[in-house]
Amino acid sequence: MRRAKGPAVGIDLGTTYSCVGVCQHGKVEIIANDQGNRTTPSYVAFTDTERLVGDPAKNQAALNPQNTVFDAKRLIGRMVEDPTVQLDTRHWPFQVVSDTGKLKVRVSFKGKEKAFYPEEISAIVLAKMKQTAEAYLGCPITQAVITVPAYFNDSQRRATIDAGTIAGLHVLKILNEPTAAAIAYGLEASRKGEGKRNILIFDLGGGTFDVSILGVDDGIFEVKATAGDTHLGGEDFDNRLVDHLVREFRRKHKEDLSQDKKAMQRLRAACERAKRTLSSGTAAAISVDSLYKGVDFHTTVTRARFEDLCSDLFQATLKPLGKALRDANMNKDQIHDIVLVGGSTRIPKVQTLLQEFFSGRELSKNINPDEAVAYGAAVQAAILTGNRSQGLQNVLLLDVTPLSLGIDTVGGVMATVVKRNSPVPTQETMEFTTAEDDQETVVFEVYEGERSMSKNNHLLGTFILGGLPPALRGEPVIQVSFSIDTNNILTVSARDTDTGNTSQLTITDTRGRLNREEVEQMVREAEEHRAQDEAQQEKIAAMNSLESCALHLKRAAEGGQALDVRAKKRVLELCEEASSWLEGNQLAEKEAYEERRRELEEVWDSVFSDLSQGRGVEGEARGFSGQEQRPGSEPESGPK
Amino acid sequence: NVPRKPPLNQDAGFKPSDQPLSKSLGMQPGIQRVMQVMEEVEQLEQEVDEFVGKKTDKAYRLLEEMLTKELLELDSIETRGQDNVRQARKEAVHRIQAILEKLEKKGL
Repeated sequence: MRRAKGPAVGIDLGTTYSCVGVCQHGKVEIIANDQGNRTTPSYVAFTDTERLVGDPAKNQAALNPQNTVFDAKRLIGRMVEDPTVQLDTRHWPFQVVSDTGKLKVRVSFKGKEKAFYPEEISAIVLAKMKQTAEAYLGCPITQAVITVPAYFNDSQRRATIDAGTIAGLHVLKILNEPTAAAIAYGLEASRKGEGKRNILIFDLGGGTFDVSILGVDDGIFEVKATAGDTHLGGEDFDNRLVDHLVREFRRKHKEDLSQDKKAMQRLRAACERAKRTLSSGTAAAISVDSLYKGVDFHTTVTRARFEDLCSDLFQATLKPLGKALRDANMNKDQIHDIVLVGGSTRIPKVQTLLQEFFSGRELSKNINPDEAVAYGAAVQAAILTGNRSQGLQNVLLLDVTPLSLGIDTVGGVMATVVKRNSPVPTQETMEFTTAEDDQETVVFEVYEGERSMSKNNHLLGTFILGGLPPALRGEPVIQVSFSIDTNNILTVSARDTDTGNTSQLTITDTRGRLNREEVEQMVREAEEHRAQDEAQQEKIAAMNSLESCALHLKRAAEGGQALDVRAKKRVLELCEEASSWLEGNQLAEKEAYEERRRELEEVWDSVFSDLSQGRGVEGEARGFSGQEQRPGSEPESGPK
Repeated sequence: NVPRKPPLNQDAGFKPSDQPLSKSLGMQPGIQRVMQVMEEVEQLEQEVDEFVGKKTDKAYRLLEEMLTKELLELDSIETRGQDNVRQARKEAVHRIQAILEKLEKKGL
């Protein structure tokens, strides 16, 4: 991680879920966490041994309720006396305490009582989002735009900035969530002759409902009014469905399952699934085997029934709409755009009600409503770190490498030297070595692309480094440098550190041949093939590992004076056998190579275990992009 | 302390009863998922059998929670009207419930 600064990211720090996005070369990407989820629960859990964040924290919540903290957003920047804090506290399984007037949550962590400020909890969530982005982008992330509700006061905003700082993030800007959503839809650019626009953001999430009216004039946003219900959302709709099915079960089977915790948990999960199904389908099947006292529960919920069960809750969203309009001193016709945010806006009835309220106006809903806020925050982050005087597109398109750059290595594997989306100008150096004994020349094939096998990428050019003195394979150190100047001219050079011999290739304007669509196509393809490529790469690594293991063993046997003739002969035969097996089995499965290597390692161990100098070959094990392993070292095994 | 899951029993895959696993390519995805769950449940059952302790012990609650999670996983498998999937899922649910009962009886 030599690069000083990665891109700035946008983070939606939500009450129940958080989301991180990045905007690069004019395209926004929402980044999935290590569990593969594009949103991360805003949960932090403390156990006897560790601290958990996100999905793992939420997954263990039932086991460890007192020490699993969520809803930190409902606490951050608030005072102990705040009536909403008093109300919320009753519903939380964790303890909220006052520390000389300041709010803290108290938990047991590693066997000790510990109290954390809400800022610290939010910081842990933010750090997780930062990590998620870093893992994806492959560089340190130090700058972010973080969103907050439009109604957050100065104290809540400051506390959010502090949380960012604690997490190691320089907060470029605290952005209002509705503004972020509006930016996501590109609504900041008022079209010619239109002048001011008014935008209504309808944000119905898992547990909160916010309505905001924004005015935008020449890129400047102003919050005109906010309204909502801090405790209305998807969970309330689930509850209605659960209650309904408990009644139905009682009617059908004369049993009350509401006191059975496990049965209720199962029913609730089934209801949440049914609710999601009903956003696209008109009926959802509920089918829970042996739900209560051995009785199977099978039923169908129609969309009409679901809407009826929740009708008062859905209707209740209209009241804050009216209030916000009154507060903003506007009538419905003065609203130019209506933007949907939050997972619950997928519910068709919610959309219809809203659309009817605005006399059939179109709704902006083509961006995933769970991600729209992070999306806009990511765009804002890019604007703030880019050149403001030029168009966003221009700036962002020019200052990064659109594809990864690297060279072909043993087995046709591409070794990436410059990662995709690296800011230019840039210079990266990597060390390589030879693949054969007494190799005199090395051929470098320079590729660009995201696939792990070179042949699937785009060949930019070839050059040769010659005059290498005789040496065993793996011994020479060849430094390969990629440098891209401000004019996007790529120079690749190779230098043998022993002789100082140098050779280089200059490729001008690497992006002249590929337009953005092509680039995007390549990236898409790479994603589709990643799994396949990884398997292939692992196979080649296993093959190389076996080959180098045999080589090392052979060398060690030849050089080991302490070995008696018989042992030496046996080892050499085994090595020979492995090598010839390899030649005849280029298409074997990864496991077969690994199995062979293990056999060799066993021989290694049994033959050399009593020879302390037998491990003297360690220094030679400098591999091709680290693919070689010293015999006896297990690449896959984790801590035991 | 949260007890860790023991490493996967290497022999498990070679038991005669698990033979259909090797032919999993031709199986319906629903059945496959049920079998995956049951493989994990087998591990949990062993832990239940070995369990000695109180209902308030962390190990007890962990086992109960893990088994419940497997139950929820089974519930999320759609039968798509196929009787054999339905049957497999149902048997699996019964099996987990039996293990949960066993655990409850063992807990002091």
